[in-house]
Amino acid sequence: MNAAAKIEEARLAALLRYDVLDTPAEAAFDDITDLAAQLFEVPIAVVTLLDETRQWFKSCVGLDDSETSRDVAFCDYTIRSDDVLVVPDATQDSRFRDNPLVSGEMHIRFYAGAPLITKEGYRLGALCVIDTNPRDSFDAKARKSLQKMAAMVVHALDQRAELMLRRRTAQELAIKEHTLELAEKMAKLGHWRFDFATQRSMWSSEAYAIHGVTPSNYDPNVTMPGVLYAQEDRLRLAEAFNHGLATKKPFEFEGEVVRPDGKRRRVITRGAPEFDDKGEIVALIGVIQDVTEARAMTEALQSSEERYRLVAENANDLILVYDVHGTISFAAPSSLQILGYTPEEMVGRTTQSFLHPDDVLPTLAHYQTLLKPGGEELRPRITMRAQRKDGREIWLEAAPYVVRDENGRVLRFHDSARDVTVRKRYEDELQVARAQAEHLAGVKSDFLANMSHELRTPLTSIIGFARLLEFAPELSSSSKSAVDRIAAASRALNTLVNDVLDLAKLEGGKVELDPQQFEVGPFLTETVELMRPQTAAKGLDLKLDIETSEIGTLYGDTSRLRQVLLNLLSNAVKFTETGGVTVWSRLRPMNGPFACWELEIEDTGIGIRPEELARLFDRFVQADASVTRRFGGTGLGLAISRQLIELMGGGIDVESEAGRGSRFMINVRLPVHVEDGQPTPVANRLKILVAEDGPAIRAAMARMLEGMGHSFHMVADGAAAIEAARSERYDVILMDVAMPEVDGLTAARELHHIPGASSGAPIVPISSSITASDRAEYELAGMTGLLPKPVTAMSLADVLASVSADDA
Amino acid sequence: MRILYVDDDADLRELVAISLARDPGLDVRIADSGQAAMALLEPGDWTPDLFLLDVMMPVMDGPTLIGKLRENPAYVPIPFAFFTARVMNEERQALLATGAAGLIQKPFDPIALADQVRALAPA
Repeated sequence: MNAAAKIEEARLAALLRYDVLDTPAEAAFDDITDLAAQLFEVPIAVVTLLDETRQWFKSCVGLDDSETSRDVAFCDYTIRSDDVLVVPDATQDSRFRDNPLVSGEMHIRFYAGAPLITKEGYRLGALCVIDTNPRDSFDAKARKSLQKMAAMVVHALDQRAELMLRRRTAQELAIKEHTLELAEKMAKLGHWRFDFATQRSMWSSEAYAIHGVTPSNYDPNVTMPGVLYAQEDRLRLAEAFNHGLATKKPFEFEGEVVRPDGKRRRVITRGAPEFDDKGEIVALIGVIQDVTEARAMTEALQSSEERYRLVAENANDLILVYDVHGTISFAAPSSLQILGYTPEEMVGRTTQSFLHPDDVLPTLAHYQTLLKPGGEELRPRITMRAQRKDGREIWLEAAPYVVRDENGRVLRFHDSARDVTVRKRYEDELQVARAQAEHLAGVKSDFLANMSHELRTPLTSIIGFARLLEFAPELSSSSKSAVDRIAAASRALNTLVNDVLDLAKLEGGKVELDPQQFEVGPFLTETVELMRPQTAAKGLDLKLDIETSEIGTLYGDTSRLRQVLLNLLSNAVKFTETGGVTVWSRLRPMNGPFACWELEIEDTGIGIRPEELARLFDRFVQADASVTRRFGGTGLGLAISRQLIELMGGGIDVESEAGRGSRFMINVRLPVHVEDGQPTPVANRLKILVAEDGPAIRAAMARMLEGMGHSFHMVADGAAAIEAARSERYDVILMDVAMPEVDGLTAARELHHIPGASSGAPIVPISSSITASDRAEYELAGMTGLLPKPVTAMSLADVLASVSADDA
Repeated sequence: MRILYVDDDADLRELVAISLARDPGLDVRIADSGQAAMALLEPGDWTPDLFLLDVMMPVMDGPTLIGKLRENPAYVPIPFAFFTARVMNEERQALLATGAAGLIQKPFDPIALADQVRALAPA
């Protein structure tokens, strides 16, 4: 780049700094061009500024254009020197003769231009006067005038630039102040300054806001800031401030502001001295921050930490925190008491290293379940054996839960484990006792069955011969009366034997229902009519009221239903002297192939006293001991009825008012029957695997499943269940939890890991242990739902419906 | 109508004998055990129209006895019935499943027994 080009570059840069190109007209410049046009008596006067490619007119008189190309600009010649350029007649000047402004419509002839020279010496453009006629003279005086006016233009340009700079600075300052104000507000952080020379304080808006005051209602130079603080903090604040002044060192103060509205805020102020060049202190400057919320959070955290420590250190349970690999990062001091290890000995070791070797894998399987999605919702209780430092084996019940971050990543486990060794021993003893009791119940039931049979043989002779004697013509009337009493007593004894046997079988779980198709209407009519002779003999009404329903055919054990109904009817007749007995029946359809059958047997008899009602369905209970003597009966009928109805999955209840009568209410849920003689096939015929070690329960479930139209396969232990489920596809697996050898939980876990052919089939636990923690344990083993023991047709149908619906 | 009745209980044998004697049309022979019953039939000169058997008997119970008797093809068409004190449904079903024409529930009504028995084996 040559020297001329460099100068031109600097000139252009100087022009741009004025930031004037393409701006609107301004009076300061227009006044000068007006004046020039008048003074020099020309039609055209212009202020031009020359950038790289054009001359731009900041102000002009007598021209419509606002710019021209630099190629045709007379001023381009003017700015080449500090002197005024004068062209008396452009047509006579070789530089301009062919210029389109000369030869064209503009018709320029005369030109005089003075360069616009800045303080730095840059020639930015020109002030020029132009005429369309040639002029002979433009004397030295005129040149001087033009130069002065050009200097006025430059002065106007400088003033304009200065004004713009001031404006921009003010604007930037305003933005900075606003930003600072916002930042202080967000941070709840204000600032202040105390000037030594003026002895005045300056506060930022946020400093006022933190104190709950505004510049209009509080002036720190009039009222000491101490009044804005709690009484006990005022002295400390003054001391901190004075200490900062005396030592010329930064200081800090934390205290409580009491705002005029009474609200208390925790604040921290930090101050430091400000020095001049000579190291003399000129001011104190500082910040003040509202830390109320931050302090509250810290305190809450501290107090929760303290509470946690209190719990952890005083707990009797083993409290552990460990990672996904089981590596312990925290153990509460209770570890010493429970396991014999100090927390220091436990941290860094894995949880599994404290377990009985046989319990490691099953326990890990439990934890795997927790790691699955949704596992953090589970609050399982897992029992396992652990080994103490002294080698003693204890039972622990752990309640782990998994802690995840917001992305679902497992962070760690929190666990509190309880020593349940004693409870476990009781449970084991209880289990043995229960098994013994069940065995004894079986023995009792067998004994009663044999006994009743043995009793019935001599009874048959007594009843038979007494009956024959009734027909002996030679008997005296007193003998005949004796024979009648033998006959009546022996028949009563026979009933008692039958009832005792019935109840023993029911309580021993040995009664199996024999369901068959039956029509509700005819069944009720026949049964109720059996009572007609007795009611007629006593002059009682006997009414049957059947509410009509679309459902008329059910599937149930009619002989057992009849037994219950006759028992209730004969009681009703027995205890009623006037009025009558009414049987009311209603069928309500239910979800699935079931109907709810509601039966009521109402009498107008002697009724039952409230204190007797509660025990009415217990064995050998009659409303009154004298009732047995007056009315006969074994006292077992209602107990048997209740057991039978419950076996059918129904309920029986009674309402009564002494002297007014009684009403017995039965409801049973029975499968609805269709015409083809088969029970209504369930919408979804399932293939079911049943694993159950009890032969009686297996048989009962087989009947129920047959009745519902499902196909099934029965196995007696967990190992057989695993084999069957893996080799054949089943829709549902019903699994007894307590089985010898391989129990249901173990089988379920194994099937969960390697399902085989029955992949995805829900495994439903069958169990009499149905507490929430039992259920959690079943769920952990990968089981779904629950079929409680004793199994009823209703609960079986329910659980099948729910798991197969889940499946779908 | 000829009936062979087998029961180990002496009282019941007498009760059944008296009860059935109320019907003059019945020819009742009685044995106190399975062995005695087979000995009674051994000569082959008397063939019953109905076997009436107690279920629970020592040595040989009713169902076993009927099995033995039916080894002789001549007795296969002859109907049989059991006296039983069993009341449980499944036990009754098991007895009927042997092919019995019916069951007579103990205790029974002596006055009605002859009619009950005749109904089991229509002439």
